[in-house]
Amino acid sequence: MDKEKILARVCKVVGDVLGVDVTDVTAGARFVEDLGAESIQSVELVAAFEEEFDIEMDEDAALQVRTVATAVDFIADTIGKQSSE
Amino acid sequence: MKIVMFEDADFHLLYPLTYLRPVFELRCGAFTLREKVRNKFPDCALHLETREVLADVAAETYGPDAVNGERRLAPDDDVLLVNAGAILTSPADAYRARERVATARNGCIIWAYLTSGTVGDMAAGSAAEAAARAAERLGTDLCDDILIRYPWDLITHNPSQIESDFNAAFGPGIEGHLDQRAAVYGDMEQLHVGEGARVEPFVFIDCREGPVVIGPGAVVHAHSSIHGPAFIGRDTRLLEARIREGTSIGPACRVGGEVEESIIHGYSNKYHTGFLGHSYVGEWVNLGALTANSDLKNDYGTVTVYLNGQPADTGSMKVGSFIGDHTKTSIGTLLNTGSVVGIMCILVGGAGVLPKHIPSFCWYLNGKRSKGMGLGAALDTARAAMKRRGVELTGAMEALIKYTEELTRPEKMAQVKRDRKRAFR
Repeated sequence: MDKEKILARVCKVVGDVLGVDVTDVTAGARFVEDLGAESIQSVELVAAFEEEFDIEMDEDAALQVRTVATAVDFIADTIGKQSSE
Repeated sequence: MKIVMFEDADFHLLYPLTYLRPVFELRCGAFTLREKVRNKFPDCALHLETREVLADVAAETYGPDAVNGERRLAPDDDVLLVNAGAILTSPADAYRARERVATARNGCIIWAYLTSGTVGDMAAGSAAEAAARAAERLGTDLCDDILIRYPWDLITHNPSQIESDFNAAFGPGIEGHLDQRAAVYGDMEQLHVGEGARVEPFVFIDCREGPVVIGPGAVVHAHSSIHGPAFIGRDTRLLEARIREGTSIGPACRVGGEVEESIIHGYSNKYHTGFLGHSYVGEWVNLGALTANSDLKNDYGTVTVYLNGQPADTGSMKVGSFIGDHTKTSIGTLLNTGSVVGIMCILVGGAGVLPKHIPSFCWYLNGKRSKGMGLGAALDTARAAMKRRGVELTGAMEALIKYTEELTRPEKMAQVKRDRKRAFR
């Protein structure tokens, strides 16, 4: 799946979970500083990404992700690994 | 005579309380099960036998020679093999009167007394195996001693154990400070205030129904009440708490609100208003303000508890919650009757009464069980919580927590997936 498509779906999930306007969710946006994510919402985001993309994310690694762009990279990487398993 | 306390194969029936500790470290009354045996036989060498995965953690407390030591079954002395879940209720001499194997009604071995000659024939393997071989050779006798098999057994026996521990190890005495404006209702002979403890004005202590022990260094702040039988451990603080009968609180806890017939193992906080009844709370737990648990069903039926994910009828009408070490609850968390919460969980209330079974390392959030923040974050939180009380998370304990995370992960993930299916349906 190309990263543009992943980005669009990530932005929608982030908007839904954090309750922010999807237009504010840009590739460079930081989850905590720019979008106001609390630790509880980080856990919700991981769950929502796993459902959206049908993947399983390592919690420790996923919670190191700080921006929307790195989330897209992380998800693309996870999809690649898990689709080849 | 030497003593070997051994865990039998049913230690898992006491999960989540025994993920991070041997069965003999569980608390009932004023002491742990190991301390009770130690107190009964103060002059005997005490060896401990536990699961290999717990051996390093136990050895940090008791020394490497005392835990799973190779010489524990050497035929150098008569030996009393004691089940790790046993509470021995007879006078000490009764256990060495003659060679015999004593069992509970369900056939489980509670203890076995063997002479050194017999031990030599049976000592290969573990103490549990030696006791089983002795039972085959010598036969067994039913005994009246107590065997803790399930978490709720600890709660059932707690009131009477506080009374017997008071009589055996404390007795009356005011070694600390009991303010003159505190009210003691009942017999002063039923009150023990330990050295360095402080009972402030306007505290109400009711000893009419049983003894009250306030351990060394404990502080009972103004407007708290304690109804005996009750045990307050060393350095624990009660903050406008209402401690009802049958409650034991271990060391270094902070407790407020109402607590009834419950055991708080130690180093845990329930600082604010909220109800805890017929429950066992592990170590390093924090119960947020207004966390409350049910311990009685509305139909007055017996309470079912999930043991290792499977429902089990306790046969009892009053059963609260069993909460594993390092678990935290948010404000307003509501726990159902007979709930089992694993270790290192985060429970966020607000979505009604929680499900009765929360596997270890889960987060309960927005009405469903989630994967949580991962082991790294959980360990960081544990380190921070322990540091506040001057305790270090040791390498051995960290390894045990990692092992437990792997052990419990399948159960957690199965539950998480079930909840997600329901939520996204």
